[in-house]
Amino acid sequence: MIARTSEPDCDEPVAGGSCAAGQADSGPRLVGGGNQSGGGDRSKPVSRGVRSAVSVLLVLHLVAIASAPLAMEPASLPAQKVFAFFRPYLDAAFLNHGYHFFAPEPGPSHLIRYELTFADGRVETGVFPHPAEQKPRLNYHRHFMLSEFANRLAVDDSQQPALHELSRSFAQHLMRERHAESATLFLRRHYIPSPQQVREGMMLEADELYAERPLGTFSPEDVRGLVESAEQQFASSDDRPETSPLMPPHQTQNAVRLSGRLQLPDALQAGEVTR
Amino acid sequence: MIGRYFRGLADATMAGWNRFWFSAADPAPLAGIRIAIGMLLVYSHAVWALNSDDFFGANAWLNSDAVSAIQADGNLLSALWWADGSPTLIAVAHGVAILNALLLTFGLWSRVAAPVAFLLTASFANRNPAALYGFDQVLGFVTLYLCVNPGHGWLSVDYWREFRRRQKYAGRQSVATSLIVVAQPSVSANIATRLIQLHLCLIYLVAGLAKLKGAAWWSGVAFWGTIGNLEYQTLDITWLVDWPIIVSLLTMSALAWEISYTALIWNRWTRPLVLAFAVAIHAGIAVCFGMMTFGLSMIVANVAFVSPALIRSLAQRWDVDPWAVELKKISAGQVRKEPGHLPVGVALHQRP
Repeated sequence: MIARTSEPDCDEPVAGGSCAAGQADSGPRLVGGGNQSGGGDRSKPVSRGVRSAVSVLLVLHLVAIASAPLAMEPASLPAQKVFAFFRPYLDAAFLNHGYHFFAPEPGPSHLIRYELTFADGRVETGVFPHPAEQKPRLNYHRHFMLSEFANRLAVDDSQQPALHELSRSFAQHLMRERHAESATLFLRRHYIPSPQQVREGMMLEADELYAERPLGTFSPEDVRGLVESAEQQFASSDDRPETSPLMPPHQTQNAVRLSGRLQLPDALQAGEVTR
Repeated sequence: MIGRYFRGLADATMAGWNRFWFSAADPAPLAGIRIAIGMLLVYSHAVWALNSDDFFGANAWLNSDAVSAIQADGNLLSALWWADGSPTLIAVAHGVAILNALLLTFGLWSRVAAPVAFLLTASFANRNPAALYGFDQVLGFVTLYLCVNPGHGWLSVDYWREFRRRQKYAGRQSVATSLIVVAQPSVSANIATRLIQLHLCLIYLVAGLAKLKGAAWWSGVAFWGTIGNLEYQTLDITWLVDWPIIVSLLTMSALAWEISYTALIWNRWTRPLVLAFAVAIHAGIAVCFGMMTFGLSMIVANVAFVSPALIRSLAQRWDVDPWAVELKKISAGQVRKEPGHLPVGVALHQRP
């Protein structure tokens, strides 16, 4: 079928003699129209100047949101440069997404297993996410994304410092919440059995489908340092003029230090983990 | 001759661009999206609030050091850093977010509620950049586009208040001036709808093309990778292991739909099929893989492609459109029509 481009593809043209979004198949039955008074916006013609300005903004926005997935590895140099240019906007507007759902292939899941040691020598183990502990399902998924995010850092050599910081943050949460003395964390990978294995009787939760890598053991000293700095930040909120309240305190200092120069490879690597 | 070709090309492109973006559109699809996304926002913020300590407390899963480290030199702005570590301020933020989402749902002060909803959605998300998934992303871009036009021109308290206000003064006016259109098409409604449509096309195209890098999608076994994933599973359909042909067909059809969505959604004949497939796929993901919120949000975003006439006819059938209800009463003779006057709120097809 050849699409008609010279005429509007709708039954009841609206103002300006053209179709609007979603009106391509039939005109409204109970709907009035034109330039009558009523609620909402008026459908008066848009001036050339406004049209031009809005068009520029639309093009910039569309290029920006397309650059985020295009800059994911493997990415072309133009895509990387365009993405680097728009990244502040994409980050701030929460539009920096790759949209690679189940791509390139549905892979194994990742969980965090932890061992908590208490003052009396007792050791408690657990795993998150866990559907029975995190309810409702949306809460489970948000916890699930935490452990999946740890894996995204774990598989990237350049992200090991970030992985350590993330693990330390997880440990801090667990130790404070359970009043534990120390926490040892593991990144647990849950492989998906092949159809053949399942036909032969393997269960999805079979032990041989799990593999782990240690994320570290975190002592009270690690956590104490963090807590003290967090309390200082909140307690001394009056004297943090250099810290933007819209960004994590340490991030603001980094942003200031890095402003004015483009570090393309690092920026792109970092961009990977935020999507 | 070549010059004429390029002049014609430029003229046609400009005309097409203007027609695509700057026509006036019925706000009915946006109104539906606003109501549904508003309800999903209420739910999302309620779940954030129920687990506030885990994500926003002094001992959250992600402390400020972790967020700084994982975003490197990013710019994840979040108003919630103001309240970092203060349970009272965080509680206020949750309360404001839920209340604002309710305002957006009901269409009260929508012009303010929509930007506030977007800012809060981005703030909550950027505070927890490692705890997000597709649902949060959909909420983010849809609320952003609702800032352009929140669909308050229909099924909203805002519009109802204006309707009542005009009704009050109608008796003093002539027929022509007392006429209120049932829906006011607008350019901003068109732009907002177009942005949602194009963003959806981008999502499906990228998701589809990225899958082409995976052998499992080419060999038709990728669907098994989701069926056999215990962490996602909410409905056990591993019995499909004995039906590899079905697994293959589901894999290939999902991939074909995702890649072709961007092209076929614009054609009036293929659009209903593409949308029906979208509903089936997202409902399947919601039920089988526990992503109810993501599935619902994607289905809601797809409403941007639904005909306003269809939405209005459904609303009329279910009596949820107050203007259509009014019209029915008039048709049934339940409302006395004064000589020389049309009841306010009934525009029908008449135009001055």
